[in-house]
Amino acid sequence: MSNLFKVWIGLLALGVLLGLYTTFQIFTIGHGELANTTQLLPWGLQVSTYIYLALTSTGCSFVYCLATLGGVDKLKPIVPRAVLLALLTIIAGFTSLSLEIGRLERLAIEFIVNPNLTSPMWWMGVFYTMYIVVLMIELAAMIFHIEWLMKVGSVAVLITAIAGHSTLGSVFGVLEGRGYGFGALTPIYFLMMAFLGGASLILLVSCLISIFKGSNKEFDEAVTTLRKVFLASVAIAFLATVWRYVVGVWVSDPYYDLFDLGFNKFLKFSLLLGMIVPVLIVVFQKKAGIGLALAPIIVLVVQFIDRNTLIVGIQKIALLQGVWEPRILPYTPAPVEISVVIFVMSIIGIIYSIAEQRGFLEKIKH
Amino acid sequence: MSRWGMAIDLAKCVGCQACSVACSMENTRVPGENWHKVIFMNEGETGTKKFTWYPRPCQHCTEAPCTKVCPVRATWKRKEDGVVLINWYKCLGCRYCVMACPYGVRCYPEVKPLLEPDIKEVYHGRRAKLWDPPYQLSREEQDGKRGTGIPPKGVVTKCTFCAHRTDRKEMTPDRDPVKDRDFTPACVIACPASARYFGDIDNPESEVSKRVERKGAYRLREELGTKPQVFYVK
Amino acid sequence: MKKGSSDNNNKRKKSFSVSRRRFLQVSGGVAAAGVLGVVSKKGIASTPPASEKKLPPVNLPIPETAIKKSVCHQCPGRCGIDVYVTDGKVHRIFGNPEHPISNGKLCPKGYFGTQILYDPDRFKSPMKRTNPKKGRNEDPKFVPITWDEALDTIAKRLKTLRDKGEAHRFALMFGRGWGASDVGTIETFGKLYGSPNVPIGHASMCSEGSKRAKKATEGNDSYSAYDYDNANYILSFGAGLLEAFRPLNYVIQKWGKLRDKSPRARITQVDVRKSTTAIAADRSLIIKPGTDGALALAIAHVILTEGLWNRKFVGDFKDKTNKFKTGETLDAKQFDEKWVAGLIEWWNAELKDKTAKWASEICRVSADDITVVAREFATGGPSIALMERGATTYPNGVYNGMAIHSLNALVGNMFAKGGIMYQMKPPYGALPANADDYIDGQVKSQAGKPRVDMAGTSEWPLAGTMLQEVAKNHLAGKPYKLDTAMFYLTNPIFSAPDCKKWEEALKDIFVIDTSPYPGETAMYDDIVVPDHTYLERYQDTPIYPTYGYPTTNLRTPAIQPLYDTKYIGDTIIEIGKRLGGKTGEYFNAIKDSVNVLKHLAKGFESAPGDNGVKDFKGWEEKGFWAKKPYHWKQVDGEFYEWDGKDYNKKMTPAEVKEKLLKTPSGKFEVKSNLLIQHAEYISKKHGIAADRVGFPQWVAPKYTGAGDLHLIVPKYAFHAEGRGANLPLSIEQFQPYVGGRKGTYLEMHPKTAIARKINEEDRVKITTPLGSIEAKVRYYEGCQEDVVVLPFEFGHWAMGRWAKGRGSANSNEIIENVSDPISGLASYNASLCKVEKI
Repeated sequence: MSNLFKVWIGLLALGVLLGLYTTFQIFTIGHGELANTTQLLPWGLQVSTYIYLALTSTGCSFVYCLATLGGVDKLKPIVPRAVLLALLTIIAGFTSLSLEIGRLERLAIEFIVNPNLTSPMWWMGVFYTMYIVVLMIELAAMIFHIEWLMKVGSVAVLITAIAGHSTLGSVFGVLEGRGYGFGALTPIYFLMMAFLGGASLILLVSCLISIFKGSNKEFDEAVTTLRKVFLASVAIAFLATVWRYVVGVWVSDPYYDLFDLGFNKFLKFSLLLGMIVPVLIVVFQKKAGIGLALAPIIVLVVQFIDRNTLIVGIQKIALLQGVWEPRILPYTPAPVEISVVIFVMSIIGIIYSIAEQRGFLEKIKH
Repeated sequence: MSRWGMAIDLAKCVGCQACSVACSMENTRVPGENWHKVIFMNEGETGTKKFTWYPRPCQHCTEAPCTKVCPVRATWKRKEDGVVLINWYKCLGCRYCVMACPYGVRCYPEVKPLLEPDIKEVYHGRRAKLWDPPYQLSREEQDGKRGTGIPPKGVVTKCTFCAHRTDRKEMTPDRDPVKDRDFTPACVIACPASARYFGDIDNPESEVSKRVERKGAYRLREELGTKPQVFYVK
Repeated sequence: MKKGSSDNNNKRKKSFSVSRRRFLQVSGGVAAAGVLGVVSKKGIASTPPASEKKLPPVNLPIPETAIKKSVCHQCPGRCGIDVYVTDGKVHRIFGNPEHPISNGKLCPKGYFGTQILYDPDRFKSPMKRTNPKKGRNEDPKFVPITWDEALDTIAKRLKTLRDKGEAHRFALMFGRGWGASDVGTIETFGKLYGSPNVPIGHASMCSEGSKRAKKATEGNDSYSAYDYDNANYILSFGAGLLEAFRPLNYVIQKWGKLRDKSPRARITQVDVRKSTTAIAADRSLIIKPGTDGALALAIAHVILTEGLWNRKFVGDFKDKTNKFKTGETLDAKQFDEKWVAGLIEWWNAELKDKTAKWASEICRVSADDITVVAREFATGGPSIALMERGATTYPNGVYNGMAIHSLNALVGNMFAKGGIMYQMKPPYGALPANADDYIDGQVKSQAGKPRVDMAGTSEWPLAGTMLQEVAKNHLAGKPYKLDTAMFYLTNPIFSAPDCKKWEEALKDIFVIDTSPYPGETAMYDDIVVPDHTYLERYQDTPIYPTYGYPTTNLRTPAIQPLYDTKYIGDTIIEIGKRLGGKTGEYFNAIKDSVNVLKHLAKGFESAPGDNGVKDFKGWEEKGFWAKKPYHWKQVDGEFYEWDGKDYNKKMTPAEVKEKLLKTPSGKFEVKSNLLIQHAEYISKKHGIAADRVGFPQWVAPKYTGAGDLHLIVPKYAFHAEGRGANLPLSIEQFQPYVGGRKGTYLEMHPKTAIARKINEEDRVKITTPLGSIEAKVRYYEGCQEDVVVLPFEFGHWAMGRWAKGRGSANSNEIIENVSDPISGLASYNASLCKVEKI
């Protein structure tokens, strides 16, 4: 183990410890008392982190299905990594979400005993549970080299990923009263953005592997393909984002005002920095390395912030509150929310890093 | 069908907020947990601003978005009288209903206090009871299954049309705030201008139905198709 | 018929819901279990169809819940309340449905009662100070003592003082007085103890201007009662009808009625900003602060020149033609006066030039609006012109008030249907002892000292009380220094103009406060003798002028006192007993405050109330005694008295003078004899000719302070007698129009603010010559551009955990102690100030 790696794992372990302490606080003091979410803005950073991670997970699954089902053989080296990342991110996402729920202890039992078939959230729970199970089976199939199960598993992963993630989109898509997220486009938008997250994370991981483990031919080819996948995913995300925005700016409903208000940020941050700059980097950086890794890093950071902007934005216009509340509700995450995010990110990092360092992922057949 | 409904006469409403305070005291709400609010507005272009207000209880929508989105049916529309209630023993505290409500009437009291020091700390509660002030409904009136009284931690709360009061008596066409005082929502009793009418909106004979029949009655955000059972009349 | 059909409807519906229930049971869904688990209690489905009155067997009003009758304490309005008590805890307050003021309703403040009772910051027993240093930042270091120790200490001190011949150096200052059992006892105590300063009331910081304007014109030194029910037009000069007028609850009820009747009664609000009342009114005239009098005079001018006055009440020209022409003087002989004295002289001396155009320049409203309002007021009656603090908290207050009140005379609504009355008093029984028999020689020998506030002396000859002068006079030692001061329901360190003076003054006075709450004055206490809160005490509360006929309420304790506190009436009686001598004898005969109340109630024996109350027990059960009707009525210029059946007895002018229009002339005087008696004083103070002082007239307000903005300090609907500042629910919704949910904001017109580069939420400094205070700004277009509004409520440096340090600072720190020379009312709203961004 290199010293650098030890430091890295040490940092992540600190993150996990911080998270455990925060979790303890949340269960003893209460999440609501610690977080900066309010009566009128109930969902904050933890929910947006959940959505971000769910989106990334879905994207990882997409990329991986591209290899297993789409016949892009050059992506094969990243397949086990993609599966593991998909699994880790979705579990981390749910951890983030769970820690925001007031009555976590009732979750499992009530979901089974009192299903509400009209609730997108219920369906989301069902699909994502299936998704996690399928991912686990898929991972097991890979570890134990059960070919047929891997095939079936891939199909199941694709289906549950699409179902789960678009249902997650519908959680916001059905909110008729809140224009910023309302509409049939939202589930599709979620799917289209997912690809970007997954492609970025896997490209990043591939670059890091190249940097730290030294390049090999198989991997370099995978990275070359990943660059194309990445560019395609940016293109898709670009379309989805731009059209969502164009429609938003066009509509004259007061609840769409946020589109106008955030236009500058959208243009400079989401589009220019978050998409165009990474594309340029990828176009000009052909080799895996720090230069190339910069592109997915930018995308991941911008997407993380954009998810928060979206989820908070949906709630930001105070609904019929008159002069008592500012028209645009303020929200900055509280320390407790940030430390939950650090917690779940550290979990992903620590498990994945150790798996990678032990060479576990190379042993898995793909 | 019989459904409780409310008509609020905006020509008589004087914006005194007696309804809000009576509600908060009757239902033991913490500051900022506004089951009932009078919404004051200050609208229009600079120089010609219009100052208006309207009282806003839960709208008890016929097509209530909150009940549709709750993943575990903790909030539901009671068939017998069309009141939207929440069961605090089932609620997960996920706040999806708060997101879904187009009127912003749902509350999640376990948040940072609006006013320091936190009244929830001054009258310290437990996990099963968010806070524990000396003034609260009698034990019989507090019912977590209908969401009346003081909630446990980590659940969503909302206006129940004072279910602990209305439920004491079978459905009647009208609830007179003075004669039926113990069976009428607190906000209706409280209104000094008598601007609120509460009764069965499915019964054409009731005072509230008659008021709603008048010209100019409307409901909030009608375009959403939620069909509130609270009407604004003039 | 109607009822039967709705019952049938109900039956049908019920059977329907039964079948629906069966359906759900059969289907056996989880939802059905969930729903029915709750609804079976409701009894819709489980009980057979029944009449509306039959109650289901579950969830009835719980038998252990007792409903105690009491009276609200959050304003002087005296609404009867029902207090719900379960397991020894108060958990609900509603209006008493039988009570003629509350009618089952309450204003928002009424519901605060429970929080006031259970306020966690209350004083829990008598205490004494152990830190001799006094000041804002000094912890008094109170230690609990017994009642005996507290009362003995006070009695000993007072006795020593009197033995030295310095009884006058003890002052008892009170704010809200309720009735015979508190202020009555205090007044007697003052008489027996021999101090002219027991008590000093707070009227001069409240609304004395309106009382004095009425005394000067109609002869009743009192606020008015109004017959809202029959009024068709209300012209309010700065009265916060929907915010602070009392009884707020009653006024809002009537407002609702006026809006419901057909055709709708019209309401015009004259105000200095868009208050809630101004917004809800049909028309609002937003005027320059302090110019209400000019507006009223112009309205009078229009009424006269257009011949719209009530001839049957006012009188008419001998030849029945209207000779009032702008600018032209008239001969008084041409006019036959009826019930208004001095009209032509008033016209000649003042009114003839006071046109709508003239007023429009002073008040900054259009002349057309003034004319229209005048016509509506005179022709759309019965009309009422009303005012309190809004128009009178200026140095020209009484003249403003007289001009406004004269409008009532011009339309002849005095004692008329839909008009103005004064309030009748309840027939109280005599106390067990007559105080006059117990005055001892020591008192007589010390008589003749002036009051410390100089009220009633040549300094303030027309003022009844000048509480705001006490600190100043004490500091100057003029007329003398106080030794001991006791406070009851007043907190002048916070609420008096130039209130910081009080912080100096109380440093070398032995201070006793009876407040149950840790207010600012209490922080200067040497001894705390905490009162019960209103839900824990017996107290009589005859009503304020409201609707005319006599009513008196009784507070009864809803629960046993939570802490070791004592009712002020008993504290005074106990001190009296401990003084010994004749004073002690008297108070021994009085025994205690409940005994006082029982004797008062004996007066009901010969005059049982409309609700059957004829003794103390009935009073306690019902919570009030009231007896309709009001005894007098003016119809078409003739006065009639109630003879037991109807208004049959026609009154002679002498009777009218004795009972109704109690002026020297026996008429409504627009040339006030009262003021003429003090012509020299008024002429000196106001700088007007001595022969003009009697007329309602335009005296330009002398604004205090310096600056380009008027500082207006209104009370809002949630101002619960000073206690709102520590009530979380009051703070939460205090200043609704600009969103003051956590404190108070300075309301400022956006143009004014932007010109000073002030953004919303910015902190600003408000400066007058007395100093500066800080406030946070919110834009409000309802303000005039040269008016800023800072509600009076917050800025406490004590008062409890929620009040302390909350909101913008206390405006009284920078409001100069300047008073209307006639009424003595402090000019709270006359300040000019500068506002700048910090």
